[in-house]
Amino acid sequence: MINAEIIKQKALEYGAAAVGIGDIAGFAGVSPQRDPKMILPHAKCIIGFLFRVPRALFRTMNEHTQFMQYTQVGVKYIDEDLSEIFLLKMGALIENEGYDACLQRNISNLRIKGDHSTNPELVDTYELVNAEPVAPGKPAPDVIIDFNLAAAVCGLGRAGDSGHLIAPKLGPFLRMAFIVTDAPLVCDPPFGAPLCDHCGACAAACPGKAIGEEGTDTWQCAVYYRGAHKSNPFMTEQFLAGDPEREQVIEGEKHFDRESARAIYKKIDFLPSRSTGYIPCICGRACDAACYRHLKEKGVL
Amino acid sequence: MKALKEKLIAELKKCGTDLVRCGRAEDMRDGGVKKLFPEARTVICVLFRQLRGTRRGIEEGSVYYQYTTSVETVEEVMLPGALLRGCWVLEEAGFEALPQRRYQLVMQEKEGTNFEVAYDEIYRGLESETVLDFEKCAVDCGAGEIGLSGSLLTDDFGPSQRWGFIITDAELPPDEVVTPHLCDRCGECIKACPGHALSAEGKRNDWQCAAYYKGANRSKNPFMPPNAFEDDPERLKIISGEADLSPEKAKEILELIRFYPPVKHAMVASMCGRACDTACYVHLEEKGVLKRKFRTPFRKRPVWELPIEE
Repeated sequence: MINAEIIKQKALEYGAAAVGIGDIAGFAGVSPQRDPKMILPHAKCIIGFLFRVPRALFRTMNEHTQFMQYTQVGVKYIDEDLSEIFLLKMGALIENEGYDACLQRNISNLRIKGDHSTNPELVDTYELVNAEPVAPGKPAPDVIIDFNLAAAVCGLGRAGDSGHLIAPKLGPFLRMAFIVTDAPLVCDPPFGAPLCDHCGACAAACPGKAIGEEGTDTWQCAVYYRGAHKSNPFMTEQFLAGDPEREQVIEGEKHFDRESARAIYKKIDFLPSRSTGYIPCICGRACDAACYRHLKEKGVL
Repeated sequence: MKALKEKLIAELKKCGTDLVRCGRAEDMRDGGVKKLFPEARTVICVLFRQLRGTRRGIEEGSVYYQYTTSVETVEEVMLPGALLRGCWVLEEAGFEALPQRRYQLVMQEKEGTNFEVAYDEIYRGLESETVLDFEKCAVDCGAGEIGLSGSLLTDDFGPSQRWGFIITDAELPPDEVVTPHLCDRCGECIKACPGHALSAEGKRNDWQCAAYYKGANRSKNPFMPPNAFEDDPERLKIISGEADLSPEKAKEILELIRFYPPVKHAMVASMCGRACDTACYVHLEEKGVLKRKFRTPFRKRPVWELPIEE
């Protein structure tokens, strides 16, 4: 008989760094487009899994010695392969016992209708602007659950000011995946107070000044994630040559919205992305690295 | 540290890894190791075999797709998974661990190419992106020796493996560096190349290799139409593998070889099937020097060849 203990033991065996089980009631009040009960109406709980991204991958980016391994191994591989294989194995365990297992990997390239943000990790994202509900009472597809909220419901961590999840063991160096299920599992309490103490280190570290009081401006982030800043080691004099706004851009002073960000994307082409659709991170995830250093110094990890 | 190494190897084997070898970081001839990780103490070489059966289709001239997709799956799926698992074991033990998979779309050199990937997808001259010499590091980890063609040869699989590394500050017991003993410089690799891309000394002309890896030799490419390169005055030389290609000419030819779809991740479908390595494997198998034995030899009949039509 499947139970929470077996789920957790298997998850760790299959490669998760942390696992938690949250009561589906923890999503009460969320938008239907973010509600896991719109995916599995009789869901009882959600199982959350964290995957460790090796710390050394951040180090080589911040020391400007290597960038591609982070994107290829730490982002693309974990989201596209590892988490999917992992979820299929975990889901089979649950379905073997006659319960539903709705796998939720990171839907990196889609945004629900009405969400105008982007995912800086990808060449671009697609907002499902034409989606329509298939029946009265249903939300427009795709329903994409809020991973940060789900992680908090599962007791795994809570998002910091940068909008990235911070977990006690891993800090912000992690990726997530979930399973929505009707299996009656013993749930963990939701995560308590966030580890983020609003120190501002993440905002100060961002070369594009993308983190403000209202969180991260994802379009601004996307421009500097892919290297529009002067500390980019691949920066050349040819970049935006002749553009009167060049200095403003590389200093991180220009503000980009969706249109202006997309307009400059093709000019920010320092490392390969076409073969995978994943943008190499040239800011070195400075926000997360600064956050990690701060939390380490505080001794809370 | 012996226990940690054993645990690490056990976890890597669970991920399908065939061989694990450890070298001392200070013994690495590639300065990139210390550039990436100045405090590194050990470089762990994680090797996956390339199944002999993946070469069978090209050997028989019957199926080409399986060879390159198997390479792609090992490089893009199996290896990163094992490397991450190894890193997690080391991080759990309190050490830093940096995974290194082969990533061929970035080169520090301003010229040149990597024959396994589309030449026009490569970003060149990127000195800030450290790229390790995988062959050299594998040798320094004790994984094997370098053969005449430049391929890594191991006692277990000859020239048939793919590999990556974990660089760590954990001081794991090192393995012995192998004294070269497999390659007898027989020259079979040189003879087998359908594009004569290897010199008598085994130096590879990367552009020549890229063109013939992708299938410029008609006698080894069953997908080439009769009118291929018909406007080229050197057509016969090209399709018989006798042309001496400059980088520009090789690019021109690579653009025209569109007889078979590419594999994912910018990988080029191999038409030669790495004939150099296959010939090497056949030779080593015949000599009986490989540890892994099969019930029947790989080469079961004479090598096939299509006629070259003028």
